Amino acid sequence: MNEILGCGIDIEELIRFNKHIPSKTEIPGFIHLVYTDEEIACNLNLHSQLTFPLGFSCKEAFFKALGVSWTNSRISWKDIEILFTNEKNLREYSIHLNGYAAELFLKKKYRKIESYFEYSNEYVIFQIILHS
Amino acid sequence: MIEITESIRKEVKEIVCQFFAEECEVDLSKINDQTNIISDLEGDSLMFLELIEIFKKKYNLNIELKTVGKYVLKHPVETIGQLIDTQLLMIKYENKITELD
Repeated sequence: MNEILGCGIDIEELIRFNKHIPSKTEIPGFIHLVYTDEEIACNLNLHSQLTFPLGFSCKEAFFKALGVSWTNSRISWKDIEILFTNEKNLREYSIHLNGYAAELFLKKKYRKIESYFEYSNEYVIFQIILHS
Repeated sequence: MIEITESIRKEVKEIVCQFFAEECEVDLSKINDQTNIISDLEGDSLMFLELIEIFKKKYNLNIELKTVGKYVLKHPVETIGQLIDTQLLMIKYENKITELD
């Protein structure tokens, strides 16, 4: 039976990310703290003003769906990776779990990830639903 | 290892308090060691990460986020005072902070 086992939602204000958005020549240290090299490379090529905040929001929503945070679990921000794949359509993306996030996902017998996001000129919002 | 002097202690406290005063739009006089970061200031993960990056840059620290996560797992940070103490330990011990346990 397909059950919802976890749900997380996160909203971020775009203006708070403005100072962290990297260029191809300068990547702030904060970005390296949170995003994998692949995410950085991907996001730099794709509406970075949106993809970086969306990525952060996705990770936060995932922590919430798992019922943990990066400070009370062994899961690192980089264990949750979201890769946007189409410059013309941000709705095309994939979510990958690595490290302890992947371990917890399997341990709790989650089988499916449902995800949604929306954005405006001021905010991004991301939702993650975990199913059995 | 950086030795923590009174001057560094004072500077760290100023940076932390000033940071939250600006980010949370709260009067600096209302922030003290007992101030709860989440319930009093509505602090969040983004602020915590930004602070870590500020101190990494300022003191040229060799410390990874997963190390911070491991340390904070055993030593939760809820108040400004606890945050300052943790930042001071990070400055002093860097990646070796988890060896303190």
